[in-house]
Amino acid sequence: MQSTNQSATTVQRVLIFSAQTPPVSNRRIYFLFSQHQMEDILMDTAVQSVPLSPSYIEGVAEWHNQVLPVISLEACLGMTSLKSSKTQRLMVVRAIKDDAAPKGIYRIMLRIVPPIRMLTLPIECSPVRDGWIPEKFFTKGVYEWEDGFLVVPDTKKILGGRN
Amino acid sequence: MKRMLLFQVGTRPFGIDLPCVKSIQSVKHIVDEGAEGSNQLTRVFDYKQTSLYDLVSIFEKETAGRDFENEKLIMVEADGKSMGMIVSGIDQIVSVDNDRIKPLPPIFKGASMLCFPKVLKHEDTLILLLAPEGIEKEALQTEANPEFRPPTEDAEIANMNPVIIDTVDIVDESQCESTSFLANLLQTDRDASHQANPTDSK
Repeated sequence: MQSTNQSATTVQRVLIFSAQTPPVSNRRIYFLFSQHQMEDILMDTAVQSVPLSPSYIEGVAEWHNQVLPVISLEACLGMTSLKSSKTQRLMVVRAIKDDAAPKGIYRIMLRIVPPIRMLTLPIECSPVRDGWIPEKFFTKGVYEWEDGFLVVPDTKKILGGRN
Repeated sequence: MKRMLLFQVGTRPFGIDLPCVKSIQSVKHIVDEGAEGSNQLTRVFDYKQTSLYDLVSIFEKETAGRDFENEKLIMVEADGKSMGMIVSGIDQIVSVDNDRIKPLPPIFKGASMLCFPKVLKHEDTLILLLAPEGIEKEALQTEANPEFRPPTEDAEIANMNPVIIDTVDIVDESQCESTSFLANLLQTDRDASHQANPTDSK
């Protein structure tokens, strides 16, 4: 029983969804997040745009009585964004920021286009250079896997914004 | 409880603390004096030189086909100074509980945080609350820029030449073991989630 509990706590799942960007080297680009970071996925949420803000911030939206920023990951990383006619969702993601406010937890919403795949680590992938990402400062790493490239965004740095 | 004046700029709703509003006037006479095409004007009100800010031009990218007949000038007092703001229309005055007002998330910086430090939730809609002193500070910072465009990092990106990508280099795998490296990267986020919700591990 103890070993079952141990294995349950060490299993690490990740969420992978397609970036709305043109392929690189004829391979699609995907974003990868830890399942632990994801708190909610919303279907219909009004986003209020904020004048004079960077273009990668789409605006603000409400979630559980909190006002959260809505981010375009593609724009944040400086990548070309393709407009998708598919149904979109907003994914609530949490992260810690050093000079954090209440309880040190900040959340952001990401605009995503389903499907979202959930995989269990380890997955077969190889690190690749991130020189093709204009704003690579906002990434933790880039990997090549069987379906394309996996970009791991650095939510802590995204929360800190561009200084 | 706070009383707020709700107004529109373009099609977007905004709010402002009612106590700082001194008057609401027609904007037509200002247009007749040649307001069109300028974001900041100076006029004499009550024998004082007063700055007027055209929020429609400042906030909206597309201002063609403006309805000057219905636009209003809101005169406010901020930091002991009078100033005016041209808006698309006036909606209503509302009384709201303080707990309906939230801070703008800290990811916003610079001009947006200066001008909209708080957000009001009113009837399932988020309404940005305008800080008039923020508009003035931002205007002073960008005085030399006739388009009132805040100097954000976006400008740098917009000026970048497009990069054509045709190759992706493989990192020397001897330096890092791929899948374990990925797991380590995500470890920080996992720790974060445990701190966010300690019951996760139970």
